[in-house]
Order: sequence, then structure tokens, then C-alpha cells
Amino acid sequence: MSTFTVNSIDFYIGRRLSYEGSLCTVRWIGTLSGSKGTWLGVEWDDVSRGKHDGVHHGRRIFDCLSKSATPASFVKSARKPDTERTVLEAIRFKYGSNTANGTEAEAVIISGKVAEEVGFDKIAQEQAQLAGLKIVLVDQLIVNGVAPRGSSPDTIFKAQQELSETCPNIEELDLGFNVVEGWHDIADICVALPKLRTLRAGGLRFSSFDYLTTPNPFAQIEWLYVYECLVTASDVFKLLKGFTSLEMLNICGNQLNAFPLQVDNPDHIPGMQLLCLKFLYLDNNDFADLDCIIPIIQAFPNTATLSLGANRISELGPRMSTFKHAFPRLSTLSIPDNQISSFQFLDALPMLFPNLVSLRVTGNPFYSINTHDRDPKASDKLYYLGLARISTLKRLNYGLISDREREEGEIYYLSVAGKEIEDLFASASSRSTSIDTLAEQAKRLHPRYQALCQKYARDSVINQFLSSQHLATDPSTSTSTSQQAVYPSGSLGARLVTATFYIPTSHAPFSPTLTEQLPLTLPVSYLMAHLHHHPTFAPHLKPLQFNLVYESSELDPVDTTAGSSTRSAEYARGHRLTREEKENLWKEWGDWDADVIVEEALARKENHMAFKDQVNEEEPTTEEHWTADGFLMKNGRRWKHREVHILHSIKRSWGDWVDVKSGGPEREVKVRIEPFDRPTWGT
Amino acid sequence: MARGEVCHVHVGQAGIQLGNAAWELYCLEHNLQPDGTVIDSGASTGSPDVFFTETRGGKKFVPRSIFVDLDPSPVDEIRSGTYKQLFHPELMVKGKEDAANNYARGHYTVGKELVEDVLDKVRRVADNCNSLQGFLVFHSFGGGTGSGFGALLLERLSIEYGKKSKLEFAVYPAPQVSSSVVEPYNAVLATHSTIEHADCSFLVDNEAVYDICKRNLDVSRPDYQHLNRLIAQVVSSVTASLRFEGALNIDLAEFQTNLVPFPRIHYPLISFAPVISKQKASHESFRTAELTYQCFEPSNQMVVCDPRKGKYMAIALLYRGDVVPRDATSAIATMKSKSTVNFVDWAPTGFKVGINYQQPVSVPNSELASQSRSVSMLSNTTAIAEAWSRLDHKFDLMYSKRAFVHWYVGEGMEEGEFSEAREDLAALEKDYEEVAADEAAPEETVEY
Repeated sequence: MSTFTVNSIDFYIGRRLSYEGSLCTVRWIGTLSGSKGTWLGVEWDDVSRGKHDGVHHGRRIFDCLSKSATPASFVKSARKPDTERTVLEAIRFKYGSNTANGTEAEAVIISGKVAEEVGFDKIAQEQAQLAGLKIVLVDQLIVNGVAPRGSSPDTIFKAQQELSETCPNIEELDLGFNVVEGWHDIADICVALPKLRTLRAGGLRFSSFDYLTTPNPFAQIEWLYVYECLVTASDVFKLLKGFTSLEMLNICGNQLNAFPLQVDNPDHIPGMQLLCLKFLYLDNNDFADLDCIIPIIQAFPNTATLSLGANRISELGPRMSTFKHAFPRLSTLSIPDNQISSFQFLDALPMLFPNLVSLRVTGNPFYSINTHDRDPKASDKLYYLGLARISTLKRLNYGLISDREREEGEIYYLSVAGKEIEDLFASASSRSTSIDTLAEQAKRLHPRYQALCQKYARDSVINQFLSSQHLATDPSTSTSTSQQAVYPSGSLGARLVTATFYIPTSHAPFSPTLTEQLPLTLPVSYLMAHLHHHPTFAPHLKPLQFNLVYESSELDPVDTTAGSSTRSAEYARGHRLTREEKENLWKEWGDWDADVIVEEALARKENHMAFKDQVNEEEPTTEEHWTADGFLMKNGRRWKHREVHILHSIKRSWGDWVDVKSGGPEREVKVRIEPFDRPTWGT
Repeated sequence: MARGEVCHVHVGQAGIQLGNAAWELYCLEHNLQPDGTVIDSGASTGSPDVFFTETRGGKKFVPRSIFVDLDPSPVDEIRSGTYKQLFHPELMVKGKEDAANNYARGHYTVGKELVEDVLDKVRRVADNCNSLQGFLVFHSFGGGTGSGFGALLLERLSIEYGKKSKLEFAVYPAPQVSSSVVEPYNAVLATHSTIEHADCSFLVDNEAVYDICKRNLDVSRPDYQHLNRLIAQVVSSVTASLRFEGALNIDLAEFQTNLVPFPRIHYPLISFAPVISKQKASHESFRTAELTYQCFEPSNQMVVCDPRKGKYMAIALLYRGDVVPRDATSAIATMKSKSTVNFVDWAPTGFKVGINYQQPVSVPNSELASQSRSVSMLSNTTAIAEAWSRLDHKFDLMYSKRAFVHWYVGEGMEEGEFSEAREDLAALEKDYEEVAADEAAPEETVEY
């Protein structure tokens, strides 16, 4: 390596430098035609800082790692770079107490007001105890390594000892955006920090990835960040040697476009498989399809979270599309801000990742909301179409998919998919494509369509098409279900119940009665307005001055007559706590033991359940009769039809108070209307 | 030093759900499990005794929090949720009839029946404290229970605990995530009746939080859980100085002293940084200077308004996590050069900076990334008057036609209360205007 020395600073290819805080790497040293002196061709870390990419007067002089057009400049070798620090110097500079050496920073004044700093000295004092530091961030402090450059092994060893004595408790270390040159420098630092778990080494440029440090300095490191280092895929595998307990790897922003590993030849994987690795972040690279992850998953077979945001992914890739259930461990996939153009991409995902739970796809062309589209439901539509395609999904774009959303989404998807398939058939019918091929095409277009049709008991457009095309249909097979109102579950019809409303004779003569089919999901306020306006009841009701009471056909015991057990007495009293019981609860308040109370409440509830079972188990006897005041006498107890007051509410649906489940066998509801006169306020 | 205790009161659906998110975060920050026991028999971090009561010799912590709603379902949700073992069952109060988005129902007809019961519970909590610092009341301005019952409760608390601080976290209505048309009515009425009783109110605009979720967190369809988790982060960082070793605002009363120059001007604006999704956090590093700068950006505020159009009366910058005093100082110096921060002339000091060494925590599996440092800025700025005038405008649109007023009158409210409340808000807007007015404004040339 040719070295060139100016002002006792050695310049060589690969040398990292910092000029007024801007980091760069020396790529070339020499003279330029038409100007005096020795020049350094440098590549800036911040590509916007440079002027060209190594071309001087139309002649290529050196190459840069970055693919940007302007990463490089020529810098005079005489220009003085910033002074470098060792790790320990940087730690002392940043965390060391500056009040101790009397260099109190002057107060900042903003529009005439002093920015008052409260308790900074206390924090500073605490941080000045370097031995206690667990998290040390020495990024952007022009750090070059554990010891000055070119130090002898002895000096390095001493520096390591000093570091481990001064800061023995470091668990997290950020060395990012510094002038460290080789991976061996990082190894030298890590070997002195036995408690290190998280290593951030972003924004560096490495000239070498080999290190000969014993013991293995990286054996305990669990989280590794190597972002924005412009490392290549094979470099990554070289430096991963030794990270035997790595859980998380972040190699974002490295211009990676492929991994040079052979699927057919697993021996080719350099380094070992990392079995602990669960989280893998590959955002901001140049991957073009999902083929890139095949070698990755082979090297890290237990990856559960994979992030590929802001790449150029547009399709599955030729190899990926042949895989089936290849990655059962992967549960979280994140591919936002890519070039995926159609929902078909999602259709393929369940085949590859059978246990996919969380997916992010925002910022792709197929999932972008047209800003001109004023449809407020646009984002809902995309969400529904997305979630319906993958049955295992629990989260889509961070949104938790509720059961209701899944149902609605899948039903919406069915209608959209049905239409698309119909269009496909319509456009193809003129052409001479065979019917079965068409059906196959349709199934490929919407792989979940048939299964979802079955789930929601819908007629499949594909089946209809097939049966209409195969003219030789057997009339006996044609479905001849009677025209009864039998609704498949999940359909709107299934949500309907037959409701009978009546006003008792005590309030209106002839007891007006209305029987209607109504959905249970109707909000109570709508129902009340509907009844109030209905001609049957309109003459008898004033707005909001009536109650609705649901009359269940179920019988409840009312209270006890002679000979009943004390337990039933307790039951009859209901589970409402008495005053004494409440006071007892508050006595336990002294030690605020929430558990005891909950457990007691649970125990009480269990008692009730036990009693209820007991009641149910009793043999029904024939001795039963209705009393004049509306009670049923049976087994020596009084029973009454259960009544539930349907409370007025804008949000809640009246079905909440009613025991009939949609789609259930019992579909009749009886509701009593009780008008009342609201006293005018203040009277 | 044992600090005074704080009692949380969560009113209405928004208040309760927000409370659930906030307590979820408190538990994580204090190293507690969802049932209030200490994780792995280790030690709890910080001083949880400010917000929690210790039982079983410090092994289990029970929140000093009261949940109230007139509608039973939000309370039932908590009772059956993940944190059912955490909260004291007797401190959850539910009514039978909901307030139907009607301030009058929450404040008069329905709320009246429940308020004594709630105050009884508050008294129990207060009796259990060594020295109660004050109350944090969480409610929304838009809902019926939040606005009506929340205001009623604050009035009663102010009578019974006049000397104690009463801080509010109030969710300000926003059209995107609105549940009813009468929200402007409720908000104006609630502001009118709480302005005298709360010492300091932190407004959280659903619209602003919704935008932050969409823009910064990349959540395509933000729901209440996303909003609440984000607001919980803000609540946690505002209250962090009460719960952890820190220098600024060690008791609630100091919030007021620092931020409230006049009793009515007590609506500080909160900004929070970083709000960044896991995805972005992996390759973007956040330096103290950048975070500080973000705090002054309107896009990081919890209320939509433009502070560049107003003047600051006071600013408190609360750094949290791995922040070195040196960095904080230089960050503020950079701020000074980058943007214009205008203070009113009459305020002697305006800028307070504090550091809390405790790292922020994020809920596992949430969209928010874990950060090693965060900044929250509380600033009393005259620009927040924008939010009030927006609200007043919406109120006026409806009230000019007396639309929906019958719902309130039907519950026994007098129409006069509407105009009275509206006038009070107009006065508040005027107050802000006067505060911002320059003392040395040149007299207008008057011509005869």
C-alpha cells in the first residue's frame, strides 16, 4: 500500500478522513494535470457533498463505491483534516463532566430570554461516572479505533485494558459515522467490552473485513446494525463470522441487489448458518424481486421478521414462484415503498409463507390511494381487498384485523372478484378458449375465490359459468330449494329476525301490533324513530316518550317460596352486592388487594352457574300453572318470562339486548312498547 | 424523597381507552406485568408509588385510577381486557344509560345520578394517600360523558379539593375521527364549564394525531388504538418527570407555575419527537439536535395550529433517555439559528430545559419504534387560539340555525347556557389576542 505523508499525517488508499465534520474515504492519490501539488481523490459519505464521480476532464481517474453521480471531490493534501479520537477519548469528551474542568457552556439566549437549564449538572454528574454507563453513543465523533492509527500491538492491548477498566458495563455501543477503517478495528474495541449486546456500526466504510482477535469478540452480540456502509453481500457474510448469537441484523441502505449464494449448492454458503437470527432488515437496498431472499432464508432459517422496504421489488421472481410453503417460520413481512403493481403479488404470498401474520404493503403502486379520488372509503377498500387474499393475516399495515373486518373484507372481495371473473368470461366468450382453461384462468386470477364462496355460502360465478356452459346439465341436480326464507349464514338476510311490536291494552285500546322483518344491527334510536313514525303506532306514541321491553320466551326463577335452599335465595337477590358486602370490599381496601376481590367475584359467579345448572337438571314436573299476576308456579318456585329493557342509545344496536342470534334457529322476537309521559323539566 | 401521589380519573369512552393505553405504557416503564406484579421478581424502576399503590410488600402495584363511563361497555371492555387484574374493580364505575353524545345528559340528567358515587371513590383514593399532589383527568371534549360528566366532575373536584392541582388531558374533536355532529357544541360547553376548574389542560387534537399516524408512522387506516398509543407516549413523557429521577417539574403544581402566566390561558401545546415507525427507525438515526428541531415543526404537534404565527409565553423542553447535557445545550443553540422563536415581550424567562435519564419505552408489536431518546415540548403559545376559533366557527354554523339544540333543551338545559358558553370562548380568543399584542405597538395614525 503506497503511503504518502504530509504534516505527519499518512494518506493511503482507503484512509478515512474528516474535513470539518464531513466524512470521506481516500480513493486515489496523485497529481492532476493543470494544477500543482498532490491531490487526494476522496469519496464523501454524504454524496451531495461531492462534485463528480472520479472523472476529471473527461478522464476516469478513480472509482467510487456509491452509485450516485456526484460522490467525489479532489482535496489538496495540504488541507488539514479534523483531529481523530480514540473510543475512550470520545467517551470522555462526550460523557465526561465538563463542569469539573470549568468549561461551563455559555447560556443560550433566544429572543432575549435565557434558556434555563434545569438540573443539567445533576445529569452530567451521573453520566460522568463512566463505569456506570450502559449505553454509549459515540457516533459522529471522528473515532478511529481503540488506539491511535498505526499503534503497536502493545499499545492496542494497553488501550483495550484501559477501556475495559473505565467502562466495564457498556451494553450498547454506537460507533456509527466515524473514521474507523477496518472490521478488525471494531473487533479490537469489542473484545474489551464483554457485556456488549448491541453494536451499531452504521455509516462507515470498511477496507477490510478480516480480523484475528481472540477470544471471539462478537460471540455475545445479539443486535448488529451495519446500515449505510456500502458493503457487498459477500462482505456481509464475511463479517458475520463469529456472531454466533446474533438475533437481529440490519443491513439497510447498502445498495445490495442480490446474494451470491447458490440454491442448488448449500455448501456454497460462506460462513455458517445463523440459527438464532430472527429479525432481518434489508430496507433501502436495490433488490428487484423476492428471489433475493432465498439464500438469506437458507443462511438464517429461523427468520421470523423480514423487512424489505424501499427496494425496487416488483414481482416474485422466477425462482420464488416455483416454491411452495418454503418459509414456514416467517410471520412478519414488510415490503412498503416498492414497485409492486398488482394484488396478484399478495395472492402468491400464502403459498410461500403459510404462517404470515403481519404484512405491510403501503406505498406500492397497487396500494396507493389516488389523491384526486375523493372517495373517503378508498383506503378501506384497499385494506379489505388486501386482507381477504391472505387468510392467516392478523395485521395489515399495522391495522389489527378484527373478525368483523375480516368478514366484511372477504364479502367485499367476493363481490369484486366475482365481477372481475364475469368480465373475464365475457371478454373471452367470443374467442375460442376452452371452458375449462377459462375456469382455470379465473381460479388463478383469484385463488381464494372458490374457498370464500363456500365459506359465505355464495354462488360461485365460476360454477355458474361451468354449469351454464356444460349444457348437458341433469335437471335433477339443479338446485330446487324451496322459496322459504332460508338465508345462508353470513348473508344480509341471515341478520333479519321477525319482530313483533305491540302496545299493551293498558296503554292503547285494541293493542296495536306490528310484525316486521328487521335486522338486529339496527341502532336503538333508529328503531324507536321507525316505530314512532309507523302508522300503526303513531297516534299512541310521543317522540322518545316510550320504552321498549323485550319479552324473552325463557323462564327465570323470580324468588323463593317455602322450602327453597338459601343458595337460591342468594341467586334470586341477583349478583348485585349488598351494602355490607361492598363495605367488606372496601375494608380490604387497606391493602388494595385487587386479586382477592376479583377471585371472590369469580367464586360468586361460579356459585350462580352451579345453581343454574342445578335448576336445569331438575326433572320437569307437570304441576305447573300460571298465577293471575303473570308468574308460572313450578316445582314450588315462581317463574317469570325474562324481560329486558332495551335502553335508548344512538350507537348500540337493539340486537344487543335480544337473545336471538342472527342465523340461529329461533328468529322471532316479541317487544312490548310502554309509553310514558316525561314530566316537563322543573315541574 | 417520597413524592406526593397523583390520582388519575378517566371519564368517558375516549378517557377510558386512553387510560388503558397510558397504564399499559406506565406498566412497561416501571417494569410491571399486566397484573401489576413486578416482572421476574426484579425491582420496579423509577418511583411507581406516585401513580400506584403498593400491596403485598411492594410485590404488586395497583393503579390509583378511577374509570367512569355512563355507558357500561367501555368499562366492561377494561374489565375483560388484558389489564383486568391490574385495576381495582371497585374503582371502575359504570352507568346504565349512555350520554348519547349529549353534554346535557352527561352533565345534568344522567350524570347527576353517578357523580356522588364517583366522588365517594375519589375520597377513598385520597384518604389512602400520604400527600395527594393532584388529579390527572382524561376525557374528550366531543363525547357526551367526556364533556358533560367530565366537566361536572371537575367542578365537584374543584369544590372539594380546591388546593390540589387538576390537570386535564382533553381530546379535542376532529372531523376525521368524529362520531357525532354535535361535538362542537359539547366541546364549547365543556370548555366553558372547565376553564375555571382545571389548572392546566393539555389538548390533543384527534386530527393532528391521526395525521401523524398516517404520515410518520405509515399506518394506512389509523384506528383508536393507534391514536391512543401515540397519545399515551406523550402522556408518559409529560408525566415522566413525576415518576422518574429528573429535575424539571417534580410536582404537578410546577407545571402551572412554569407554563401558565394567566389562569385562563392554560392550554399548552404539546409536541413530541421522534414519531417514527419501526421501519424507518432502523436506518435513521436521531440526534438530539434533529429531535429538538422537529419539536418546533407543526407536523409534530398534537394540535393543528401554526406557532410561527403566534408568540410563545413559555416553553418547556423535556428531553428523555440518552441525552447528554452538552448535546442539549448545543441543540438549543442550533435551534436558535435555524428558526425564529418569538416570545412575548413581557415574559421574563421563557425557556426551560430538563433531562430525564429514563429511556422511552414502546409497546411491543406496536407501530412505534423504540427510541433511545425522545423530546417533548410543552409550549404556551398564542397560536393555539386558532384551534379555538376553528371550534367556535363550527359551533356558530350550527347554532345560528339552532340546529340540534332541542336535544339539549330536552334534557333540561337552558338555551342561555349555549350563548353564555360561546361568549366565554370568544373572550378566551380575545385573551390570547391581548396577550400576544405588543406593548410598544405604535399608535395608529388617526385622521380627522
